[in-house]
Amino acid sequence: MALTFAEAFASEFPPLHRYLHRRMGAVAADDLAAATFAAAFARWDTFDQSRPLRPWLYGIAANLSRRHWRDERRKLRAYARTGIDPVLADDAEPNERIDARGRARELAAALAELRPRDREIVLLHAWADLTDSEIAEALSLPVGTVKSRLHRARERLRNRLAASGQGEERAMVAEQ
Amino acid sequence: MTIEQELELLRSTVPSPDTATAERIHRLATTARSSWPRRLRTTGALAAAALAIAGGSVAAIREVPWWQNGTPPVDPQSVASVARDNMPATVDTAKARTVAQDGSAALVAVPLDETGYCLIPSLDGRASLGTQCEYQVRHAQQGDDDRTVSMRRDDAWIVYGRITDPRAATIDLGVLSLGLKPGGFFIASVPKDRWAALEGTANAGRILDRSGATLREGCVDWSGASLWRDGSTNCKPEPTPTIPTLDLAHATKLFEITLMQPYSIWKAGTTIEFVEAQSSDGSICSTSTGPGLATRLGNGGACRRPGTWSSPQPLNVTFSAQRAHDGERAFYIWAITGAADPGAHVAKLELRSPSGAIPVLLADNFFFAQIAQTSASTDAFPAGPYTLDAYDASGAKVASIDLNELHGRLRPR
Repeated sequence: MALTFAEAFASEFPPLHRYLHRRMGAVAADDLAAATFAAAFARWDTFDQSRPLRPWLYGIAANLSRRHWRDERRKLRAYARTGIDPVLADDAEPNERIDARGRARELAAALAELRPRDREIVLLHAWADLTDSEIAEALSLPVGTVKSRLHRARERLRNRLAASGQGEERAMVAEQ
Repeated sequence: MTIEQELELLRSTVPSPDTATAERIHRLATTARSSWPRRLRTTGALAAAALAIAGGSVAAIREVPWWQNGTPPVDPQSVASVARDNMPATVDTAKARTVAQDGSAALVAVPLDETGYCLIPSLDGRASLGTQCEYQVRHAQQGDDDRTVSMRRDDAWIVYGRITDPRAATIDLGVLSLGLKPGGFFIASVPKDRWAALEGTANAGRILDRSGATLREGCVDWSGASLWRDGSTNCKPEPTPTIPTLDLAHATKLFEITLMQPYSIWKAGTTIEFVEAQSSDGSICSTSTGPGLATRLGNGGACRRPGTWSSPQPLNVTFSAQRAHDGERAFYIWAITGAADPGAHVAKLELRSPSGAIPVLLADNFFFAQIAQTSASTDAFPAGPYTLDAYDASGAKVASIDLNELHGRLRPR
């Protein structure tokens, strides 16, 4: 039975919007989700429904999101620097936006340092729950490239966090 | 804590959109763009302003945009058709240009938004070889938004793409040295007498400026779809792994379930099926299918080799946790899938918890169950305690698994 656009929207809009919100903030998520589903709606009649839906939608969203890469990095850096996450600014009390976990701030800093494409692959995996092959389809990349970039990006994140962890330990020793 | 778990926690308090937002955006998505609200149209106006600014800076490097003086495509209708089905809605097909040609191979490029572009390769006039788009070109000299593609067919092997560095004049692929066309585009047929020698290999390559000086070194990979990788060290072929496919035409139904919790893309109350199908790698796979989703591997299913059982235990259990929100709080919904050793002759499975025992769906030694309780993280399987008991046809218990203990052992530390 053919899937209607309304059914696709009902199942895919909430996770897609939340994924975009986590990356770019609520306002950008509204715009990007609207543009993604507008593009999907315009092409719905020609969409081959034997293809998986999610990679197609996230592929459209990925293309549209690129113009927000710089803003995404700026927000991650601001969070890392201040502990106040601009992404949560629209829908959280000020005290909820302050994350005391130094590790989260370090992780935000590490994410900001990744190449935008690598960050996208990492977050499609971690926050959108896409498999390697779904990410490959969404981004029109070979699966091997997705696997190697994901591996490389995780290594960078681990190394960055390990380095900052050692720095914290050294600082604590110095304070004692 | 693993890096995956730390990522999972980051911004995990971001809520799912509320119903009003969903309705508003559904209305926007299904309405003509001219009626989009002011903020969205303002974004478009800003983009147009950015285009004017970007156009100025591009003009300083290249005198005119690549599409301005190019040749229109031979078959504009075909380009429009490909664009309609495969490209972002903002692509401007009126500016499509044939940017490179080599014999019967041609490359059409279409500008996209401020600096982006889409590529449409064609062979013998057929533009059905797939398309690639880059939404924006940033750091052109670093090549972050280059596209390089190797496409092999039975009767043809072409390489094509775009090097965005405005200083670049030549891409040296080893066996081929290609002059870049305005905009940095290229396409070439790989000579047939080189196919056997190149197949599955990789070699060093260079991108050169007009004076012949090297701008970047890279690895030319003839084994995969992505032709060029930056960096000349460790230049080895990275073949694209073959993804097993399921013979869905001959799939057999195992059982169906009306979900009591959301599962995969489906909401609670949806009836989905689990089916079993032969995989192209020789294994038998069980997977889920339902409204809106083509059946695929990895969707809560499991594969096994017929006639083999590698586990010392009679039951193999896989845990899956799915994020959900009730507007304020994030939580995880759990399910278990797995297989029973055919030699154990399991005829019935029960999931026991303090609230009682419920039968677990079982067919052809594949089973699936949703857990009623939720948890706050993927580190904690719902408290339960939950036990999975297996019985043979005579009613004798043949296995009993403490799921909380098993999850504690399996979860990453």
